[in-house]
Amino acid sequence: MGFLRKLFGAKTEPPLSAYAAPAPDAHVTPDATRCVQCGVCGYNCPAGIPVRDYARQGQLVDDPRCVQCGKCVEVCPRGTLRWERPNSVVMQWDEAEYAELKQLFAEAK
Amino acid sequence: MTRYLILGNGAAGATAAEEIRLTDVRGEITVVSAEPYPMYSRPGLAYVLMNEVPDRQVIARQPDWYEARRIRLVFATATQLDVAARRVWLNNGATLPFDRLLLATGARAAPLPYAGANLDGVVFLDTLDGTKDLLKRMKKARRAVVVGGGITALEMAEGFAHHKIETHYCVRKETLWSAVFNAEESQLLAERMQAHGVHIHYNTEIAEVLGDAKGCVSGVRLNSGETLECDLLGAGIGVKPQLDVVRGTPIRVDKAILVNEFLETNVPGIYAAGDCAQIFDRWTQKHLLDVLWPTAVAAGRVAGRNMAGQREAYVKGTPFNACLLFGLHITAIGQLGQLRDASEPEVFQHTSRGSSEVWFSRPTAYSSAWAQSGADTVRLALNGNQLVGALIIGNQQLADPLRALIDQQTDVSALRPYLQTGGPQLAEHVLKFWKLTKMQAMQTPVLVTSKV
Repeated sequence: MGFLRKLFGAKTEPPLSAYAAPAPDAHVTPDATRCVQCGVCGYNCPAGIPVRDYARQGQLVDDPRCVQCGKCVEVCPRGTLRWERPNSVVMQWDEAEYAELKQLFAEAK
Repeated sequence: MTRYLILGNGAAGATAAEEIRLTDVRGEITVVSAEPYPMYSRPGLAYVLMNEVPDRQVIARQPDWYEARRIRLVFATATQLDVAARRVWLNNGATLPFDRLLLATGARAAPLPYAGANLDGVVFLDTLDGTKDLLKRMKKARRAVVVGGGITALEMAEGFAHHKIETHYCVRKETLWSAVFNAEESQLLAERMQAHGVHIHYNTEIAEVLGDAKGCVSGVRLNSGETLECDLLGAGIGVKPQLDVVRGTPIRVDKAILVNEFLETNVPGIYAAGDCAQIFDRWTQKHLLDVLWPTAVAAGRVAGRNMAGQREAYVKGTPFNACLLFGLHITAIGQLGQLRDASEPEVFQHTSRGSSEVWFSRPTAYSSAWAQSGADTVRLALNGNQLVGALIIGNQQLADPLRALIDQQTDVSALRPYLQTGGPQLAEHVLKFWKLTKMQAMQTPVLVTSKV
């Protein structure tokens, strides 16, 4: 991915942190109701993506310049941004897990 | 062609303008801004103060955003409103006629109620110009005092400390952010503040602001008689809705402008939204005031639609606020207020910005669960079998599941026995319960027909 960063003019090396993309197909996804439009995200974006505009509309950041560094996710003071994989909306069904969870909370009643 | 006039260019005003244009492509939209900037993020001022971003960065809409939507932006202050003539006078001499008017003038920081409150060096965190001026003053300041019990005051204290100014934080109560925090949560933040070099003075009220011969702040005298020297006095004691333009008009006002569920005032065609509006709430049968950013955006959206001819009721969502104070992530959701002494009258001036009245309402049967694991805490407020509030400090993995459980009014009786466990297990059980709730939603068959 290093050459892509050079190609698209990234200013800094992305940090290796817990905020980095969990998968190559993950997108930065905002929760518009948490966003206060402060602009800290876009200011810290090495590719200069106007992340704030995506956040306002609750739209996932699909800008081709995104290098998935996770800087915006890390710096957002309101916890607005997270990583989502496009297919993660569909939850994987696990019958065993469902039975186990039902059991756990059935005992409580 | 309808003429729409919006007084105020903040979260509510700009959102309403955008929403009107989505419904009415031909109407004439004018937004009057008292400050010489396109719409900017007021919550973002805290991050300007801490040098996280340069001041220009908080400007959230550029002039081309207005142009693209054919929204005329006028930089002036409205001085007079004639509801019969349907006209607004501006301080630049111009008058603007309207068919529909939105009052979205917002609120400003409440002035300090002490002698000497007008001295040079009493500072607020409520406008972009004020924040730019404050940054300049900080370069010369050596000692600062901050007064106020909410987020804004805490953000100011953090800003001063960040600029290596000796900072004294004065709070009336014996805990920090007492509208929301319990003693343990307060202690957690206090430790962070002390690590940043902030001196905290609990149970402390200011008696008088002291000045020097040049009319500048030189210190404060406290109720205890003690004096604290300072060059700057940061005030974050609450907000005051801007109501000047409605004074002397038939528009009904209480603490702010009274509007019905459709955000319309008692004068047809005139609406209000944001920090200057007190909105009728059908559940409590009261007019409630919210001074939160997301609320202003949501109300601005509904006001805009209704002005453009729709009829949509504004439904108050769950109060929600996320913030970052001294490196601690904090999320407050729903009803969290500590039960207050019934003899204590509700003093509006002490309702801080970033605050919501609902946090102070009393659930009928209130119990809570609280867990701490290192710097991470979670507190749940329960009313019967429902979660009504949550406060999360530090690790935020529970923030979204809890918000959903509160919003959806999920029956959490199955979770109840696990709420007493505390520590990391509480988080684990909440996450498991959330997963089960989602799985059950997937199991629920969709009703196609229903015959009686």
